[in-house]
Amino acid sequence: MADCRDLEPLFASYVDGEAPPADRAAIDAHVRTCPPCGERLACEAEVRSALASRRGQLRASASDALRRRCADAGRPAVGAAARATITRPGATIPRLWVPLSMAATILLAVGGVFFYGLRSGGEAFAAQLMTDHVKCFEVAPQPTVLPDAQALAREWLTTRGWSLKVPNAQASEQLQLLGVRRCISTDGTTAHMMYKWRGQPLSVYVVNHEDKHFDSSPRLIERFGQEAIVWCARGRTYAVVARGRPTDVEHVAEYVRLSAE
Amino acid sequence: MVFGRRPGPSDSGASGSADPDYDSAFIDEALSYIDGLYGTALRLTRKAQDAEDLVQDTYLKAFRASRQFERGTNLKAWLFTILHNTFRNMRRHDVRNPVDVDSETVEQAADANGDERTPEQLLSRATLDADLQRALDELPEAFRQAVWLRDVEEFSYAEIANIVDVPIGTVMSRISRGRKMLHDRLAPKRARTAKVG
Repeated sequence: MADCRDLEPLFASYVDGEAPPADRAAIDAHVRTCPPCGERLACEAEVRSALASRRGQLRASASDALRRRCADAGRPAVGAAARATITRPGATIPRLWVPLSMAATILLAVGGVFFYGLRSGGEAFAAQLMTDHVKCFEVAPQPTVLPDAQALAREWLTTRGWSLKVPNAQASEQLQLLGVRRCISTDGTTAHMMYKWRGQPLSVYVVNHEDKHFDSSPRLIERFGQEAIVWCARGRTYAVVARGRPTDVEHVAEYVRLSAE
Repeated sequence: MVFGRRPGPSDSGASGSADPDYDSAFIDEALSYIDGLYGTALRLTRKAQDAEDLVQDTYLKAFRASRQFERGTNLKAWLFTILHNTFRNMRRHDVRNPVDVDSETVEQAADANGDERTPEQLLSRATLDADLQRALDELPEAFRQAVWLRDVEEFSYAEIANIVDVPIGTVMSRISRGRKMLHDRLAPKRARTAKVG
């Protein structure tokens, strides 16, 4: 006679009607002399039946917004080309750029990393942040009430276990704080502070370690029509990502540097 | 669903990334599983916003890696595997919810919760829906996943083993014990309801 423990691994397939005949016969023989096991099987069958009959109620429906965002991730959008002129430090260079949808930007960012290669690991790092910048602004809901920087910093410390300085909104910079989140695509290791800057998205990233490709001198990296300024300080890596004239991004990055370090 | 030919990694000299020539059938079928993925993400994260992030990240990764999907195999199971892997990575860095995937610990957790046995056999349909949702959410994560993937999402044992990355015997054991734990959580509620009624 089989022992209860020997047969327990077969219970699921028995209840599901998928146990091989020999296993089924063994369990049938066992439960004739073991009421607790018979009761256990009845319990499991009851739960299985209850769940099966309520699949419709138990399953959740994805929101229309989520459906749209996920569909966008799969269907590259075509943006209209436009010309813009930006000023680089030391020279004025006309530049052709394309306003990009989230999907197209991510495609370019990922393609930039994997298709064409990057000159350095630092550029790959910046490209990843630029991708997250676009994605997170698509995903994150707009706050109905503007958040308090100190409260966000406290919440971050409580939930993530390391301290974070969240720069306040700054009227003179036309900088508005929207929130702080962790990016799942960076496995949650990076704090992503989200702002509106002159009405456009601006991201401040803080990575809780120093990236070997950067040092204390802020470095400007341009890709996909966006600017990233990255530097290291006090054992951390900081980055500001935005679309704009490099000199303007450098200016707001300086404010961030003074507030966030 | 039969997809059109999907290009191999050497077709464009690119790999591991989104392809502008996406096969629309692949995308359409992938998106048809969004409710299941979202429901599962909700059970895993218990927060709507986190669940949405998880689902969107799953699709981003799936579309980037679409060439790695083996044509003719189970796209739904492939997507759920990405979802669970993404969730595990997310949890690994979340100080609020340390990962608890150690098998032995998980199995012991089941034993610890198995002492509230009750002779109740039948579950009250009148009270079941809300109680069922709550009881499911109260199950230890490994058991909740196993029962959910089997009884709600209707995956095979082998598919679940692949999705959650444990041996098939462990999956069967978790399903069985998870169902039993669920019953133990529901039966006292039903008994209380009967007394009140």
